[in-house]
Amino acid sequence: MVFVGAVFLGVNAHRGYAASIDEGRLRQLQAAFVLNFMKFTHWPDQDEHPLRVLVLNNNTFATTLGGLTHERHVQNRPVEVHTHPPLPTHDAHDDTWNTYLATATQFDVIYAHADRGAAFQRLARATTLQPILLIADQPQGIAHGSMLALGLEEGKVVFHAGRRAIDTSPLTLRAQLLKLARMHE
Amino acid sequence: MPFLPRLSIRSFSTKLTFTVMLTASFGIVLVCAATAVLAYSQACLRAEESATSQARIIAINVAAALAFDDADSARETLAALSAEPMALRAVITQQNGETFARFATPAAAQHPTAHLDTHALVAETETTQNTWLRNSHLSIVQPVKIDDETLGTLVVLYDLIPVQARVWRGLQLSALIGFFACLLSGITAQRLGRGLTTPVAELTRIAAAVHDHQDYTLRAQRFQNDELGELTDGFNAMLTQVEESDAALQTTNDQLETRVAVRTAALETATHEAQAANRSKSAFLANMSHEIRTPMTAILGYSDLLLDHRQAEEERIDCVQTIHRNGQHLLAIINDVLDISKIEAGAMTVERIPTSIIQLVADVASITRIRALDKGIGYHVTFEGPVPETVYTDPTRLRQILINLVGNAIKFTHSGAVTLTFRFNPANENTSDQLHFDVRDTGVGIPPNTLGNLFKPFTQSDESTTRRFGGTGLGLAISRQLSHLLGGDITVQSEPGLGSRFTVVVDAGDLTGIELIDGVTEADVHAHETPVLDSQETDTPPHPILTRVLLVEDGEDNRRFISRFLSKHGVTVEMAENGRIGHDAALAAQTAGQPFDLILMDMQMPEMDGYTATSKLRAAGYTHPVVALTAHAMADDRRKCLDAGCDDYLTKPIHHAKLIDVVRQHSPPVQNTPATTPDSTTAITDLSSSATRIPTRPDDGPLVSRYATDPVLAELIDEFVAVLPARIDELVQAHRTADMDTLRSRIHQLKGSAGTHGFDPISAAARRLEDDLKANADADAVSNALDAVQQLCKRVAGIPATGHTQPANNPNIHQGGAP
Repeated sequence: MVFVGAVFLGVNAHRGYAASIDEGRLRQLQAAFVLNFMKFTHWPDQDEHPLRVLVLNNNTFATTLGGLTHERHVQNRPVEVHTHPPLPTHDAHDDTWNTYLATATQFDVIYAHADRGAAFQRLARATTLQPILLIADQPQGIAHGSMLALGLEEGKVVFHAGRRAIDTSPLTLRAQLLKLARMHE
Repeated sequence: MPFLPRLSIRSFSTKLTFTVMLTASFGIVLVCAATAVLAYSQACLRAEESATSQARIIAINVAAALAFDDADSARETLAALSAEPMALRAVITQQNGETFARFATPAAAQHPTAHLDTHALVAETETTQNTWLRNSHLSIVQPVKIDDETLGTLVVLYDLIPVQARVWRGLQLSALIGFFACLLSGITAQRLGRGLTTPVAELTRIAAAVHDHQDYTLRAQRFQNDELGELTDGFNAMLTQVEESDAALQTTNDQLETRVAVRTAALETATHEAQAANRSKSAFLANMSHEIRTPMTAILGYSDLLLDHRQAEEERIDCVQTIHRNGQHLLAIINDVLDISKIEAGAMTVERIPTSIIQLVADVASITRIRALDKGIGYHVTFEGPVPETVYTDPTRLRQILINLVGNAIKFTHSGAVTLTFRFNPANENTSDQLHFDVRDTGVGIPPNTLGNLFKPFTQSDESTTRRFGGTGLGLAISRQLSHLLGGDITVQSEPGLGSRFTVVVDAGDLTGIELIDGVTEADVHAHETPVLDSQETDTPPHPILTRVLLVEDGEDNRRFISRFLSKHGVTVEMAENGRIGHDAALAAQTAGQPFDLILMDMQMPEMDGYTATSKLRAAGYTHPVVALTAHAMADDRRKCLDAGCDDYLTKPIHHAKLIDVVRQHSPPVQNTPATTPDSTTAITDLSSSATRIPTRPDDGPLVSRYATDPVLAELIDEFVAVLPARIDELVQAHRTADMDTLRSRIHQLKGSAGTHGFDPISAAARRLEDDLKANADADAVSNALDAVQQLCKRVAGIPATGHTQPANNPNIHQGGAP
């Protein structure tokens, strides 16, 4: 029902956010998109280990996503939503980065802001060869190495896909998903 | 079904064609229907499978669009259905029931499903079914899911009308093909049917022709080598068998008709022969009656004259001679009858003993010549060629043949001569030595048409011959049969008015070493002829027989009669009552050195019969002659007597002359002394004082003894007649008291004594009564037979009246004076 609600929100968003979009609803639509991204992704078999989602520096979104995925399963795996502090700065100490990245790379999905390009790129490089779906909350995240990124076009939530990041990632995204995405080389 | 009756009268070919077409039509229709149904089902199934697959794919493809609320992408996906010719419409609805995306082909607007509500279809997905097959369309309801989460529903409608059209077209094509197949099968059936119907029609035609014309030579043509060909062969074979059977039946019928005709002819011939034989026998009987009555009349008439003592001596002698001659004639007739009966019974036998031809011819001549001379015709005997001194044949029978032929020749010849010619034919390659006798006459001759019947018994050349010349008609038949027995035959050549020639050929026997005598003439025959001297014509009385005879006879009357008769002829007679006494007396006399010169042995006696007595005598070494006396006259009886040891044979009633001849023959030779017995010399002239009168009415007049004229026996007859009433009384008494043994004994005695004393009718009646008693006949038959005996006895002339026997009513009995 949560998913139906998310779709319903999406539909409503599609119909209703052409003129103006509510912040809360936008988060719900974005959370629904993130959840659908997870559904259209072929995950490595991990039996019943929970599919762990790490939301960086956005507790509100994490709360929304947590509410949406509560008691839900994606490909028979429960979904856990965690939050984490924002990325270190670009020039932060390597140890900081290492520690940060060591924690972040333990998750299956990382949802992060793409406003700090250099730091996001460092995160992207750290997850490139790992089965981690990296999702940016802005379209420029694709340029920083994110696999998927959300965006707004004419008040409608859309999503973008970075082909290079997708191709190098051990994860496989479904064609239906990629068919709907704005693809970027 | 109305067509079936009509079908039943159609031809076999039509039926076959119709049946094949009907069967093919049914089959094709069924196949087409099944094919159509199957094709439609399979098409629907394929459409369903295809549609389901397409719907599933579309549902998968639109899941992302529905998840990310991308209706355009969903419509693009749905637009892919435009490549599917069956697809009509597709609708994707969200979970809240709103339409998310839709697609429709141009044909959907004209399709019957255009009015269908998509939401209603979606609502139906709540049921367990997601595939709906309708008449015109197929609905596929496919949920759109991601990870078991239903995002919406995809409804796709497919058009089944093209499928149905394809099936229908296929069905039409099948029907068309089926129609042509039926047509083809009908044509084929008709073509093939000709192969079936033509032989059947041929068989039908032949069967009808055979039935209509009864012509079994027809054959059905064989058209092919199959079962019908075999049927045709079988039909033809059956016709062949019927034809053969018919021919055989026809042949049998023909043969049967021929056989019937032959047998009918044979039956007619046999009937004619039987009728002719019957006529011949009737004629024979009439002739025999005449032949017997004629001499009998003479005998009776002359006997009557003889009884008249006023007749002169010469007249009496003439009477006696006439009676004797007619008696001999009667004897000849009886002998002929006996001979022919023996021949027909196969009982006639001949012997082959040395015989002198000259003597034989002389015997024949001595008997027949006198008759020829009496008729004033010539009589000649000639010999052609040499004559065997001796031949081996039966002289008695050969003499009988020749006497008969010569006698006939004399009888039928009124002028001219009768010639007997002998010729000896020596044996050649084909025949043995044969004796030929030709008897030629110049008599009346025999018509050619009667020559064939000449040798048949009871037949003369014609009845007029019998009336004119007399005779029994047996002589030639007997002669020919006798000639056959003698190994030869008799043939005849005759020309009416000129005379006849009978040729007798007989076998001469084995003449090896027999001398042939040349130059035999009639004078030689004369030298051997015996003068015919009738003893009764001589004035010289018979010589007494000085001999001693033992008479063994159980009948007292016979004993007394025979002994008295023999004593009158000088014979010394001693008597014995039965075979045992006779046997003992004969042996005693032989032991005493004074054996009897002759024994006269009755063969049928109580205690010991003559056969046994004679056998015992012969066994005891008795060598003197024994002569049998028996009432049985057949040849077997004679043979039986001779086998028992008898030397000769006399039948009862005893013929006096024969008795004397036999006694004289078996007596020792004596000197030829003149007769001294006055009785014998006066035997003819001295009529008995007890002579009875000859009855004027033989059937119911007084009975007289056939020895009534014999003065020697007159006293004996008187004695028999005197005791006859007492004997009758004994018979009646025995019958009344049912003493059958006494009755049987007394009637046996009466039978013998009556015959012995010359009362043959009484003897015959007594024999019938005896036979009835032996056969245990009923009381009436015995009474009637006894009454017959009584009546005959009452008719005996001179019988005294007694208490039980009434005197004869005929007053003539008393006119002659009883003794």
